[in-house]
Amino acid sequence: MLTDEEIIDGCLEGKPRFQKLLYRKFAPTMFGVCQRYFNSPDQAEDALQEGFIKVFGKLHDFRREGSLEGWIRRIMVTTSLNYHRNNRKHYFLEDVEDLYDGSEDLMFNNDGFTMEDLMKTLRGLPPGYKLVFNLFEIEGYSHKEIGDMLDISVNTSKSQLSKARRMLQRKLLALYDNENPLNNA
Amino acid sequence: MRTKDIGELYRDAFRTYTPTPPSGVWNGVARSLSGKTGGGVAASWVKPLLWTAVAGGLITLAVLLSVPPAEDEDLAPALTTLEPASAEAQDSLSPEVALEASGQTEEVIPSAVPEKRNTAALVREEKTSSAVSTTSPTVATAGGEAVVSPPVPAKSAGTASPAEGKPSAMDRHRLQRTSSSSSAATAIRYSKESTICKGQQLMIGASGGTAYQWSNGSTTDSILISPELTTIYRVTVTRTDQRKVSGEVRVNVHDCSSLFVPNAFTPNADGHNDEFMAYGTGITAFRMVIQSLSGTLLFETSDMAVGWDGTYLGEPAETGAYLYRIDYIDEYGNPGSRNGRLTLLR
Repeated sequence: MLTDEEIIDGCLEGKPRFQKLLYRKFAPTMFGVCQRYFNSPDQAEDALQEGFIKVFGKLHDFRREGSLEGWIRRIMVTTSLNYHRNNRKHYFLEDVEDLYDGSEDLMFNNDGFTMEDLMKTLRGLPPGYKLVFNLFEIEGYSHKEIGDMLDISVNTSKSQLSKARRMLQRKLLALYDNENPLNNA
Repeated sequence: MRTKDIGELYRDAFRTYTPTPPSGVWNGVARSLSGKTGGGVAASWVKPLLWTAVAGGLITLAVLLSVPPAEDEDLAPALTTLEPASAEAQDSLSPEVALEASGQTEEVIPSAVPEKRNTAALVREEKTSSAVSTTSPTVATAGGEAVVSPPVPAKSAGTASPAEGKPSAMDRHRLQRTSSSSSAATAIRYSKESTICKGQQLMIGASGGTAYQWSNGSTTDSILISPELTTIYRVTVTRTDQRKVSGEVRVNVHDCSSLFVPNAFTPNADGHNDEFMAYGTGITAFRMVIQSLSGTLLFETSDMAVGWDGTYLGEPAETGAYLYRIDYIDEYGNPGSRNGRLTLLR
């Protein structure tokens, strides 16, 4: 079996078999990443394809210090964000009345929701909320990093995140109430 | 009850979400690769049309056919890291079984859901594999066998998981060869997953060979693992006839220490939800305080089994909102805290 190192070496030598191996190893995870940034499956596929083309094109720059998966994931994220670039300035218009203090966070029983519920609620978020929630909660970037990536302030990133969190909680609660009539015992 | 913060809920679910992309994506990538020998990236790329998808399919197949037979086995398991194809194997993934393995039945459902999708993809990939097999019939023989045994609690032997002592757990965790229904089909594939709590150890093993090579570098037939994160362990077994077969086990790791705090309670002495208390597993130290919105301390406890009965100085407190703060230490020594608002209803 081949290590990431061996796969990278094979790809750098231009061997198609290794290119396909690399793709096979990471494509499902990365497709999962891309899908979170788009409501349309077509766009997620486009981003995935473009992302992998970049991966192969830039592989000689990969310094092999961190994990290959982490490096690929970052490329997928930035590629996905690029698709939003033109519209991004419309995403982060502040609506001040909607501030949130975080004190009412709910905890969720994680067997109450299907993957489809989670994907649907995430996709239903306004685009700015969705980008920030993805980057902060799932990808694990800091507000500072998100600010740089999206060209917004740290405070905007924070407020978008809490709004996203609150909206997701409301959406999930609504699902929970609808689907679990026995819940409110 | 296992509960999660909203961010954790999505994070954990999507971490294991690995949908299979449509084949057109790879075809587009392959086209870009074959179009250039250097490292340059296309400034723009063209989404493949139908005819290019067909051409791409031929390229893919050619690549596979050009692989030496011994390597086919190396390729094949990579197709099926997640979901067994046979009904029998499917059955082994049922929540009851996973409960035996992990003691955490709640963990099973969300992680199983996304992977359902892969079943369809797997069937599609099956065709590619059998195409390979016709060119290299020797691949068709079976090989090693791998076993996952129930997890061993790494710490706190007192918290016995329901898995322990159930002889059936071992048998049912025997890795299933995901044979497709026809015996002519070929690629040897093991596909199995197990779920443990962070900090637990798990023994996984393979048998039926003369040498073993695990993805973590071990060369023994079984390995004791305690991964921090969900990890796929791969083993290549050299059989007595020197052929190599490989299989893999996905070990899902969850943070099982948790605390559930209700949002409301009803101290009306109806025997139901009359006290406000937190519920949790694996909590070794605990302190909860309850305050009014104006900051008056109403209740304090360091015993998780003791809840607030909704009184203050012997008098029923008013209905409405109160604040709680909980500090705790989980079974691995990690401190945590939780605060929020609760509603008193009568």
